[in-house]
Amino acid sequence: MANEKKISRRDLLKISAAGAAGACVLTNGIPAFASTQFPGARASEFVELPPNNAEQFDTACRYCHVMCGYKVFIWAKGKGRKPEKEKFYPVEKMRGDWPNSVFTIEAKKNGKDVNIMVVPDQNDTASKSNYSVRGAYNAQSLYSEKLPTKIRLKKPMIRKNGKGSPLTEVSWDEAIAFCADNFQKIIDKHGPDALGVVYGDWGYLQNSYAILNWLFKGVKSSTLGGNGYLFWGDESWGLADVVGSGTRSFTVEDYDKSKLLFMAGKNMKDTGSSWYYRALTSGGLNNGDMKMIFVDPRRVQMADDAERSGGLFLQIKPGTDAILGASLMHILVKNDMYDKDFVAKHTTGFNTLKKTVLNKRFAPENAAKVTGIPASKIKAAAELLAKYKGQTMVQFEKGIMHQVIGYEHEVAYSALGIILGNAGKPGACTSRAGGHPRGTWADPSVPNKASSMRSVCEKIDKGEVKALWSFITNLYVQFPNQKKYRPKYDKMFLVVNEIYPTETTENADVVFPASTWGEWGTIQASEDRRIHLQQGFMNAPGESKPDWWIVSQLAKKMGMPGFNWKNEQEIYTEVSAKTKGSSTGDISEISWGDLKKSGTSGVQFPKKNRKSIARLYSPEFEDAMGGRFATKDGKAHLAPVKALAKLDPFNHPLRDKITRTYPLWMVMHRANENWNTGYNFYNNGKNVPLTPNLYERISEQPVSINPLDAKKLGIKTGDWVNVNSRNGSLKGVVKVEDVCAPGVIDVISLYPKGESTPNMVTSEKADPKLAEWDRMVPVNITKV
Amino acid sequence: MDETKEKQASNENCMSRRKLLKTAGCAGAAALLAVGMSSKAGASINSTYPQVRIGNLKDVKEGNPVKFDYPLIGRKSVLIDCGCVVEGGIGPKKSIVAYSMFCTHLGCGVELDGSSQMLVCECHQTVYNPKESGRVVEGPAPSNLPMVSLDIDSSSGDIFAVGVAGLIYGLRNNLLDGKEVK
Repeated sequence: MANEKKISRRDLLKISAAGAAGACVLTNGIPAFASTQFPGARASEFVELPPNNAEQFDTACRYCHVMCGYKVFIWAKGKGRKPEKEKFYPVEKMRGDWPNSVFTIEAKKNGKDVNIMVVPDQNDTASKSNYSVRGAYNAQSLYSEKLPTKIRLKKPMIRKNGKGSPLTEVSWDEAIAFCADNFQKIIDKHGPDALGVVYGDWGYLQNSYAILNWLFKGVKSSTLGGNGYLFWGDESWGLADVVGSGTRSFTVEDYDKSKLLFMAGKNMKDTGSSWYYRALTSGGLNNGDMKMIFVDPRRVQMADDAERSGGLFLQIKPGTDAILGASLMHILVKNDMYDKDFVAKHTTGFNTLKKTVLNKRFAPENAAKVTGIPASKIKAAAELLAKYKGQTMVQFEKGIMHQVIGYEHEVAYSALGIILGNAGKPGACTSRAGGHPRGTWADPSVPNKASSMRSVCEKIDKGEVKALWSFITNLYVQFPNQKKYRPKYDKMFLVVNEIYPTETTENADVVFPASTWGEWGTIQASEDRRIHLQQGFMNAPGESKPDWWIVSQLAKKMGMPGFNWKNEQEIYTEVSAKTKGSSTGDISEISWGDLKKSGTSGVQFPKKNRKSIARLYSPEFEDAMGGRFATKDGKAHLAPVKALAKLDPFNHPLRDKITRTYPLWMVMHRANENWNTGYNFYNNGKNVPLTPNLYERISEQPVSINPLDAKKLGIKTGDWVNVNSRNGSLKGVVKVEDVCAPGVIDVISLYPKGESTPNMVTSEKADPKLAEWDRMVPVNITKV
Repeated sequence: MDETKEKQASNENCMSRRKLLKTAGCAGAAALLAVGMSSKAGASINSTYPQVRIGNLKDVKEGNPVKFDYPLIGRKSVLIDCGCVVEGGIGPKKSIVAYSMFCTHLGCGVELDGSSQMLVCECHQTVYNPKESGRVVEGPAPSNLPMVSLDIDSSSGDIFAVGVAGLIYGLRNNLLDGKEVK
């Protein structure tokens, strides 16, 4: 190897300091192997540790419904502990509190340079420090002038002279007065319903409570689009019709105990990662102690895991889950394989269910034709479900819910879980598998006719909405059929609460800069019902303020009573008292002090007589609430299954049709790196990555397509394409792989880059009950 | 380019295929630089990497990874011949690279997957690409797999480990809290 270059010590130092990038840039310099060591080639990798006098805080991850616990340490720059004689090292495996360098950033606090470390907590109940990669980047997404997050919004802005005039930075007083004046004029001229709010209840308890009170009690408008738990148009209506509530009923420990996971329309590996990691390792999915039936149109890693565990992957034709659910019940009922005792004791409507599902059209051979799943696999799935009845977590999520027949899918899987007795037992449940952290509890009464996401779109379409407040929502990414609706939003008086400049703020008349996670004491709950106080630990950027404070200022300016909270604690206390008696959401016995004391694990609810109830629909739930289920009669209701009797998934009046022009079904999945609208992943206002390391993993919208379809279309991996629907187009990069079946393509939901975001092609047609628009879209593909 | 030509080209140079969907390469670097303390703090450590013979060119074949401890005893690493030119590769084809076998997520074992030729974590399925400096393709690991710097004695074909780029899981410094490999 005469021409093989030798590494120099300087280069070694350079590459050691800089991580793995471009390793082995070889240069001349060192005599080959003259000694046993390169003198001076130092092991320079080292993470500074917080000193003993560092400030300490408890929090929970700002992203998904698992809400992993994190500790926060803050110390003066340069005052970190030297890495000598640490008992902690070397750290054994499975400890997420080994301080990876991405957990720490440099920022300013009270004018001084500090290091802020946000590190997974080994003592957290939900995760035991087993974090996901987006959680790992909690610190990197904090505001710092040394990070890409320096683009945070810092001052209120208004268009003083209306549309066409520039957005100008003004004082809070001026922004609030300008907004209040314009809102009042619209109310006076067009009535209260002309003023609407779109919100996401992941925006913390205090903010949700403030905005709903402002809209319903203050303005007296019913024009609300958003998702919270207690409202009409709730995404969980199908589940709620069976068990009485859409609230998730299991506890995290069930992922250690279950014998079988039945997972439909839920990519838990990416969307509730820490739960899934728990199932893989302590639950035994990795070694077959736990089995999984995975129902999905996409052959992803979870499909392989299911098969490896001794379970099944059912590659379903998108949109046909209700038929699969009915067919599984057909086999179970016909062959007496269900839990007769549980059905007799805890349910009503079984005869209706029996009559419906025993129809020939649900026989596995016939269901196979609709679902694309071989009859033999449907039978094998029924056998596994019967074998592990009372030990199975039957779970479903947005993949089946965000459709025009999402209600029917929910009813089918909910009834399937219940007739097998999977409710309120260790390792067994019938539940949604996720969502987002809960931020809505107390439900102010609605003044007029009930509203929903669906009716908001209808009202906007008809021109009835004259002002819209986009509250903790990126309207230009999150709402459907953007091509049709953006011009309508542009004409309205648009008010936006945001932390970053986005495409939505660019078009707003008023921009309120919001402070967020880590900047004040926010409250959220995980989907296994642990309520957390995420403590404030750092300064908010510029003049930004909590969203609830902004609402209260506006309410006072508009002369509305009841918005005099001095701090976030006062709102929590007001809300928690109002939940008393709620069978699934009672937090009235949990004080602010309790939350502070609960460390990073939070407090599980409902809590009654000083006892947290771990599992809804369990014997302990029955003791506390007087019924096994959350229905009025305490029974699970199976009669809603009759909704499946005549269901034809592809001939539903609201469902768009596959045609020769639009021959492919486009479905969507969520990627772990891109939480929600990707607001901390990529900024769609300035077009810059906010966490570059995560962005680099998915730097363009991937369009996953089956090799047979790719061949037919003459496209290959790496090609730029347009995905076109009847409503618009999105741009993406082809990835040819055996993930989707022929006839189906897949993209990342809510991918934030403007021209690549899936709501460029979706339609606003929505399930009449769930009010969720269809994420299954007929499309074609053209090369760019 | 037809399929055959594409295959030939990729056999010669793996890097030509890398800029498809998940482009990266310097994720680990960005992370460390963002923290901004690695190199400065390291100056206080008076340790140097050992230079250790870990094999010979004739032992390393495509599909036949060689495991070795480095730089501390028990810190498993793996030597891989990717069969084509790769980032940081050495040897006649610039195809040989080595990595720590400790996942940067929770320290579980990382093994070369025969079918995908990726390094995959046994616990939570982080996938690292050995052809791209050990960058994360997907999964929970927040940083790239530490890459072992290699050198070759041109006369004998002996391969030596001479350093590590990136902090190995479980350690505060790659040369502390264990016994160095000789």
